[in-house]
Amino acid sequence: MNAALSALKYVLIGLTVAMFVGLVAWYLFLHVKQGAITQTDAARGAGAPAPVSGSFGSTYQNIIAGLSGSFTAVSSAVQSTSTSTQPRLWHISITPAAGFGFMSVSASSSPKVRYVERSTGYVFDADADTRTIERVTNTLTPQVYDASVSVDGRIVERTLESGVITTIIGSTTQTDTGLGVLATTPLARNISSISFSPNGKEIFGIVSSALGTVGIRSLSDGSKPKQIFSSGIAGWHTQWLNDGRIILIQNSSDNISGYAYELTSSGSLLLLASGSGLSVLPQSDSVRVVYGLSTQSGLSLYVRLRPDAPPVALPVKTVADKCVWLQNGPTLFCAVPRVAVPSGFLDAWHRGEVHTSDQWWKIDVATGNAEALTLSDTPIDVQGPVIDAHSQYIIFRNAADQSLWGLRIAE
Amino acid sequence: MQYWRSFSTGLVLLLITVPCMTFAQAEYEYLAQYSAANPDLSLSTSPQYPGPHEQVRVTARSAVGGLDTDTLIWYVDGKEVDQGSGLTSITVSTGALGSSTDISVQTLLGGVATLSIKPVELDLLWESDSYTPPFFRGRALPSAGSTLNLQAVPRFKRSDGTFVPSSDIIFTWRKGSSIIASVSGRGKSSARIPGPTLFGHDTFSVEARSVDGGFAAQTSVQVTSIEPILDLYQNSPLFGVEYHDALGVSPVSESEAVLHATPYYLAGGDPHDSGLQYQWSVNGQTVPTNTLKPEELTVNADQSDGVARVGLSLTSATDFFLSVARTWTISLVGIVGDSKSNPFGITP
Repeated sequence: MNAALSALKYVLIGLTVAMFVGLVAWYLFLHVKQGAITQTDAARGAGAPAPVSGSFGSTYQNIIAGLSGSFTAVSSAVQSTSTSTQPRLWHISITPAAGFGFMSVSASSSPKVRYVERSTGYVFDADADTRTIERVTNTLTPQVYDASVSVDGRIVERTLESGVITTIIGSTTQTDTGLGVLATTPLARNISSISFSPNGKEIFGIVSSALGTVGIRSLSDGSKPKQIFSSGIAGWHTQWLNDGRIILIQNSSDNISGYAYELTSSGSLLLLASGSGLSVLPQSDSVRVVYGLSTQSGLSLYVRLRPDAPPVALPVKTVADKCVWLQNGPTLFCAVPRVAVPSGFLDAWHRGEVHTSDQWWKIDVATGNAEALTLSDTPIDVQGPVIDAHSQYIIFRNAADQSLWGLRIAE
Repeated sequence: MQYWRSFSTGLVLLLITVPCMTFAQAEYEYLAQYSAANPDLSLSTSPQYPGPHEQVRVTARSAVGGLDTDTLIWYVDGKEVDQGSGLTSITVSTGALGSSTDISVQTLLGGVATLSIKPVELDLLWESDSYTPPFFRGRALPSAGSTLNLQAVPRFKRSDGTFVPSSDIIFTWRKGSSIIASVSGRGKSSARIPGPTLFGHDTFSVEARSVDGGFAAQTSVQVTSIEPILDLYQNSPLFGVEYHDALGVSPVSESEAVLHATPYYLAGGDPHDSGLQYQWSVNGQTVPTNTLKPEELTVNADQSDGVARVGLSLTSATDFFLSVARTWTISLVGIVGDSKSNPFGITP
């Protein structure tokens, strides 16, 4: 009897141990499976923040991941140290930017840059002093080839549909979720060039059709259009200066004569400059004009201080498109190729066949003195520089990769 | 005696008077002959149509000659500026647009000619209707078979500060020395004229005259035809066609890429014209063309680094002069980045 009881006791103990071991094993099995399921769900995006809630967007993160080889979590704002310790050259965005501009701020405020991401059409704001970047809109517009930003933050985005340029214009509006939307209005098709008025409330565009080329001025929503210009020439690009003048510059080519005009309110053309391979940069609220030529001898840059004054050659050789005037006075900032470019550069540059590595120069056009700015040797092919209203910063694009850069010029 | 004294006095007077009268008659006849020729006294300028603030040479001419030995007196705006024997030309500077410089010349024998110089400006803009991609900021250059768009921009400024409108100006367009009547006429400040032939060049000129005859100008430009240029770009699913960076300079940072060919300055302006024939090749082997997008080619390095020699030949079934070809060496850098065997068979 005692043996039976003893045997029963051992059997019960054994069963208990076996059950315990089995339960432990089952727990471990379930734990492993749960981990695998969690990994699978995470790979499918479960639990990850929705794309709309990220300030940079998935495109930015994907490109960063592709470039760095690992996924880096990016916070909604990148803080930096004080302005004085920051390098003068600032890589605002490494992803291609379709367009950019300064928004209107007071003299005591930090300059504010607004730019449009080429791949998505998302709008970003960047604080030049704190180097903070913040995404403003959540409205997706894929493949924005070109964009413009007005001083009051309006946006023009231009895309291609079956090879035809389509243009939309809009303003950002805030929503309760944080990110805003870009409320847009479509404009005419085939606008080859467009520019905002100084206050952002009007636009001027060049539109080409089989019937010819016209220049149309309208309110910024496209209403009240008025044709103020017509031409047998389709290849123009426009500038709308802060003093209200509309400038028309004929598309240029090496060794071929070109012209630039001021378009008056009556539609007549006042000659601003002419020459071979012409590029032009008039100064707002001034009669000074800088223009560049591209000839068999290469690039050259000139300034005309008064309409009746003869042109004076400047000591740097570059394209006027790579220059920007200080808001007042005879000072000019130019990005100059470090290596002299050969004849035929302009056409090749326009086609994207060549890129330069530029150095920034500060030039006093009244005296002809030029001073090179000491910056890093990062190769940048400067394109489309603009300066803020208080002459503290210049922003520009690198033509090689369309990334956006900033340069603090105030000492 | 008294009679003899009177006869002697009369004879002396006759001997003095007759030669004088004869000389005066000869002089008169000479002057009459010369004065009759004075309407042929004319003034010309070089340049013919001077612009503002420009040095102008004014020359006097006479159909009957004789100016070389004559004394000429020159006046500018009513003020004598120079005179001299045989002085048949002077140099003056024009004023600003809207001004007028009055030139007159007198000869010692009474000949007069006047001229009023009004500086003018006439710009001649041109471009071709050849193909350039959207957002391209360069000039559309002419190739064989393309048409030129020309625009004349005159600046005829009156003394009251107003400009003569183009509608009151007669434009005469020329290709070489031939007048293109179909595009010439009053107010026709723009024109479309066939461009130069293959490898050729032509001179295009325009003459502008105000209908009241008060202003005139002429200018010309020489235009040379070039061959279309083929460039290759990556067509990115994120960024679209990357016209800012033509391939062949930097490697493509992917293992698969869609290559987009752009035929700059193609006559006719349409790279999708049905008559165009795109013939692609990779490493010397012809590859089938995408019938929907013949200007594009997708290359895949199959997850490894690869170098591909991509070729494109562009011809036209309707334009026998069009034949453009180019080859690019494309480096595809795979994401994996390991050095597997090169599927393209070419080592960098």
